[in-house]
Amino acid sequence: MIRVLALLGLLLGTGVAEDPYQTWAQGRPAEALPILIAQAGDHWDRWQDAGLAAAAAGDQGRAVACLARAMTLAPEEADPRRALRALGVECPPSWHERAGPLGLPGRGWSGVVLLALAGLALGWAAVGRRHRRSAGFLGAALVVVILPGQLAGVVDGQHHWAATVRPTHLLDHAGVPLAPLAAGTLLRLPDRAGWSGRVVVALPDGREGFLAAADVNP
Amino acid sequence: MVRSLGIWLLMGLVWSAEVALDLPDPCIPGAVMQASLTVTDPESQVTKVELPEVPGLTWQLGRTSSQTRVVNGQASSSLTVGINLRAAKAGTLEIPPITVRMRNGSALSTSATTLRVAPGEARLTGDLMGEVAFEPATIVPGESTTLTYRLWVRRGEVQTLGINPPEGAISLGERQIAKGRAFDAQGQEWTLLTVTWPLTFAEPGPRTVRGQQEVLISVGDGFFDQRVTRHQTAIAPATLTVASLPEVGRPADFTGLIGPVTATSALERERVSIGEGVVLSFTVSGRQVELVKRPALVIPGVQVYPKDEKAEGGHHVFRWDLVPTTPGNALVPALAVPYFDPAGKTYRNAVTQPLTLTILPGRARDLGAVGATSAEPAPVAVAPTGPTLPPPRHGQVTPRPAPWLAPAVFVGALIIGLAAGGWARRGPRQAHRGRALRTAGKDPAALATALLALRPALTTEAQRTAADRLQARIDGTRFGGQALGDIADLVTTLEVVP
Repeated sequence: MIRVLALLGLLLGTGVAEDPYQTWAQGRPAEALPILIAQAGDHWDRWQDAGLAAAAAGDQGRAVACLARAMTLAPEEADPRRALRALGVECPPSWHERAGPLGLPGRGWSGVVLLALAGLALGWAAVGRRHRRSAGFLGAALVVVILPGQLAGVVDGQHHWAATVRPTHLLDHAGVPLAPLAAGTLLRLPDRAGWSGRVVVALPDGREGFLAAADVNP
Repeated sequence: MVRSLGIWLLMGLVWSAEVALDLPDPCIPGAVMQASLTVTDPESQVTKVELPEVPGLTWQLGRTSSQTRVVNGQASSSLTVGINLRAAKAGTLEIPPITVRMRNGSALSTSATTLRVAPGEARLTGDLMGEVAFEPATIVPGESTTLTYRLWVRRGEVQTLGINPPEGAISLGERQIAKGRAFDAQGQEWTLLTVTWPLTFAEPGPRTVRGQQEVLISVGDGFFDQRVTRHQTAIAPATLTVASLPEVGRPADFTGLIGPVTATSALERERVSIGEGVVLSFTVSGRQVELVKRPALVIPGVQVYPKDEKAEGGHHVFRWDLVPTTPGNALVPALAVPYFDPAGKTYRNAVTQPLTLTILPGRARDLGAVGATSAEPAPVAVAPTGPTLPPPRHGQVTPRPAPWLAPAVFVGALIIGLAAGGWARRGPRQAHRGRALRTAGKDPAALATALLALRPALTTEAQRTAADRLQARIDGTRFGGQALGDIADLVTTLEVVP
């Protein structure tokens, strides 16, 4: 709803669309927030900026929800988790964090380049006429170096995160409240379909239940 | 010394025996009722029970029975004397102590008591009667109510309860079962089972409880003629109305708390120096207090840092670190928590008392060295406080590779590597010898070279003949000075050789 209104505002604007970052810099982060959310799309950095703007505006719920979206889109990035921890949200360490410097070569574009080299080396080692052993060793070594980062990306990419944007209640399948949830409670979204406008969520302590979809949508 | 010890021992022996009178309540007027007198651990045989005269009451001794129990190795015996009694009319009768004489000359007495004589419950008829009710019958969401199921059984056995809490009920505690007795109008004793469930509901609306109760009754005269019959009785339904919380007067910060609720606040210390921290605790007590949110707290001249919070056992405690910055008296304002009072059907606030924090100028003195005063305190290195918010990105980030890109690149590079390796293994392709002959044109030397490379690959007689004729022409040109002539046919025949 916020996104629709923000886009409508953009369309109906009489002149140049207002730069949300400029609005934010002028000390009005609350006014910049809807535009930042509307423009975020699938860009993790824009969701992170929206979360920071919400935090500056004092909206803890939306801040955590936007940062959770950034964390889902870019699990290898450290900034969304750092921002969540700065807001006092207990955030489980990612496998990228656990891998530490071992995971760096396998991440991002360096991982792509090294994988290309590994593929060439291993392909040559399989059927080439000369230097097969060296090529095989090089390819295997590159795979070993890349593997931690790539595996961390696969495992971290399986988790989808969200957060409550307002105080609400965790519900059971019948809609009976199970427990109150404060705004900004970090949640995991299991890969299961919800029903009747509700989504399945998992709390940090492992309990699962349902929440109204509007309660987790920034 | 020995004599007093003996007296104490004798008194101990006497006191180990007890006598208790169990009277029916109520005693039905005109009906013969049963009472009992029980002597526990008698030190000697009972010889006489003296029933006193009570106006309006006729009673006499009945059958006697005895029982011995061993519990944890300790044996205890009891003697029960039945008493048949009949009261003439309703009222309250004063029962004086009953004396029990023992063979060894001692005597025990019951305490004076009263006997309530009143009509029995006329509605107790048949073998089974049940009723169910909600107490109170109207609540608001979150307010507690008790579902009470009373079951009177004259004879038979109840194996399962026919009433259970309705769907959607939220249990607030364990089910309780109490057993008692009652009497009908004829004075017959009934067993009364009272089952209670403390409940509440989250959503408004009516809730109805209904059911049937079954009792198993053994019938038959002899031991071999016994059989069990089932009897069912319908239980009249009971309805609970869960009314919606009123909209009028609902505070904006109402979180669903249902009273009674109390709130208190307390300071760790009431006098601190500037820069010295003190903890403020705010406690909310009641039911479902985990719904309470941390209230906003602003104290002029004091920096307020939210600390931890803890909710358990019906108490929710919030704490703040207060760090004063200016000397004087700082007023910690009263904190309020809105809740709904079901008794008054209105919203109220649980409010704390305001507190006063006295702030002294300067930091606390270091009293480690007697007579010495501390100089200007050295600045304390501030430890890092933890992670900080990163700066906004403003869209300036390196695009991330798509998740599918890495495995696709690996597979593509693998294929390329295989292809490259395979090509390298096969070696460079040899030039097409036939085309080399065509390319040589009319150059005798080039023709001779191409023909020489071609000869090992000739396969047919026609090709060999053509090669010989062409060789003759070339030799004639190179060494005999003859013209090469038309060699197109010969080249055409030979250029198909790979």
